[in-house]
Amino acid sequence: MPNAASKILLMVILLLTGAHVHAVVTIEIDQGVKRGIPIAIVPFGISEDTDQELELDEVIRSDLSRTGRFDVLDVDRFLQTPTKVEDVDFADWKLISVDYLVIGSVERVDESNFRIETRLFNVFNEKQIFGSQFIATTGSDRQVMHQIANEVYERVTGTKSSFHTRIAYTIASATSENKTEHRLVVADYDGKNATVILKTDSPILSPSWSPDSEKITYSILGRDQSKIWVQEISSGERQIVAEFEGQNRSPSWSPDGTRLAFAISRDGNSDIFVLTLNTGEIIQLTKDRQIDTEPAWSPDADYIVFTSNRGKGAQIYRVRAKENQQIERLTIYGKSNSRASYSPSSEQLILITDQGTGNQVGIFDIESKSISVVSSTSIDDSAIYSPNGEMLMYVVEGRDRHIKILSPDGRVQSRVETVEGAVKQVAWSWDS
Amino acid sequence: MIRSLFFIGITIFSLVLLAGCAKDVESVDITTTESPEGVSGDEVSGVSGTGDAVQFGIDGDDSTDTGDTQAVDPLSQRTVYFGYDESIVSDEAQTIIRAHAEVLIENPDAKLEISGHADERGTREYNLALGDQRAVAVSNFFQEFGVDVSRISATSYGEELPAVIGSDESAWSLNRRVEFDY
Repeated sequence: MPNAASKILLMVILLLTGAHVHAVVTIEIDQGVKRGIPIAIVPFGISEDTDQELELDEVIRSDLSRTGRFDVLDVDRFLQTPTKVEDVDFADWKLISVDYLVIGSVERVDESNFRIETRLFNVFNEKQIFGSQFIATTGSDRQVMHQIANEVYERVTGTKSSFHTRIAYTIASATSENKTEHRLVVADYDGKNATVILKTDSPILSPSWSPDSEKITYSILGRDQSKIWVQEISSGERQIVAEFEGQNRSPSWSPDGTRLAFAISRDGNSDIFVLTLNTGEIIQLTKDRQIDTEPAWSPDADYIVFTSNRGKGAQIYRVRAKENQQIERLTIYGKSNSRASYSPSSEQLILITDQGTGNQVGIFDIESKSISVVSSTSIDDSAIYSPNGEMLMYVVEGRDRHIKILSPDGRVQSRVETVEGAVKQVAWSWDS
Repeated sequence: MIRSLFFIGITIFSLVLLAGCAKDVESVDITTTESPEGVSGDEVSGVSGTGDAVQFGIDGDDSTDTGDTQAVDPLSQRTVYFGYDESIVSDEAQTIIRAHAEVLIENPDAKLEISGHADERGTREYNLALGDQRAVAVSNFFQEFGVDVSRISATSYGEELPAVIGSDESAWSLNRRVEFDY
């Protein structure tokens, strides 16, 4: 873990030198429904010798807002803007009904290092909940802010955040020769620090992270055959792991890291298989003559859910990840349901559902079989839970394809910044 | 019903061809077209408003019957269309496939390439699998009409290569297709 963190830090330094842009993050909040915990994050104090533009408190505000669990107060409502403990007047914060308060300051240590100090207070009892110092290198400012946001989130809600996790997405854009270039991009969960890890002429499909978040598997649509690859993110090294007769598609990494579930399509018939990575052996889980695809593992790795049109239209089915098991239909409501994946709690599936109003992001409750639609768009794809289950992400299709983050109730939504192009699919890393 | 849509399509297509001749206009492209104004949402029409596109095999309730069936040579078409989330080859599509199968039988060296496609709705992997089903359904008809399987290659591109850019039924109906070439 310390190793992985330093690797990330190093990458960030390499990528961001001198390229600081203060992007405005638009987070839409539907205020009509229930509200989150009121919190104020005061703009950090910056010492005069810190001439570098740093991204600071705005990162924390965006992180906390996106989850829907916090009601982050607008800075212009503040009665004071303290940056040190001695300047905090709790009466001013009680007046505007704030439960928690975050303050901070930055000073230069040497040419490339900054000291960032931050404190979280409980406004009711006027006590400090935590105070920390971080040394940030030029370019790692966002990382430190995500760390502070994580600390605040964990201390207040009791659950770990996903602010430090990453995403992978596939994106297509037109080249000057009128061809399409397909790219696989890895970025922070909020789209920042984007790195293109693969460029090809052929569509890249269904990226899926290894549980240590160091590798990504995907399928490349070949003219004659689609094959499944595994690529190490840090080195860029990649190899084919599945090129069985037919089309090898839709890989999904098992939570224990040892296997991939995937689909092989032959003669118009797609079935679900499981590949054991170190032996190359495969077992077949489904054998009907219709479409079975988009496998995804349960968190305990016992079950696989998949999309099939063996009934009328696409619906979600479940099978144990062993040979000759019974197949059970899960979804019963809706014209179609596809591309399901589990919530970290195992109790829900997130999927794409057609309830007569387009293809939308739905949350399916496994126990009650009910589906609730959470997106307000209607040509959606590639919906997933964050590793802690407290945010959702999906791809909005149509004229302006992009990635959206949603709070699980759909109340808070924000667009994720990407490299130029039309986003196809997105995958969230694990919490590692 | 679907048959009548096809006939309307053929009739108007031939009118377009005639109009094209009269005005000495270049060729009429039936697979690439802008979405015409006034055709949007769930409104389904057999033929698009500007007359430069032919659509058929679509779910719809237009039931006008024109009767004329011999207007256009099925050999002029190398694309067949499908209903939403379906891979059923319509009678009209079978007519087109049969005509091309006869040409292929007379030209035993020609290889047939078939590609299946889907509209942008539905998920990416499901659409690839749906494209497979459509391509194989068309391949099966070529085989039934006498083309040897060894001459056929079938691929799916799912929703990756839309014929028409657009997010309404007029675009979607042209994107749910199988193209073939030899």
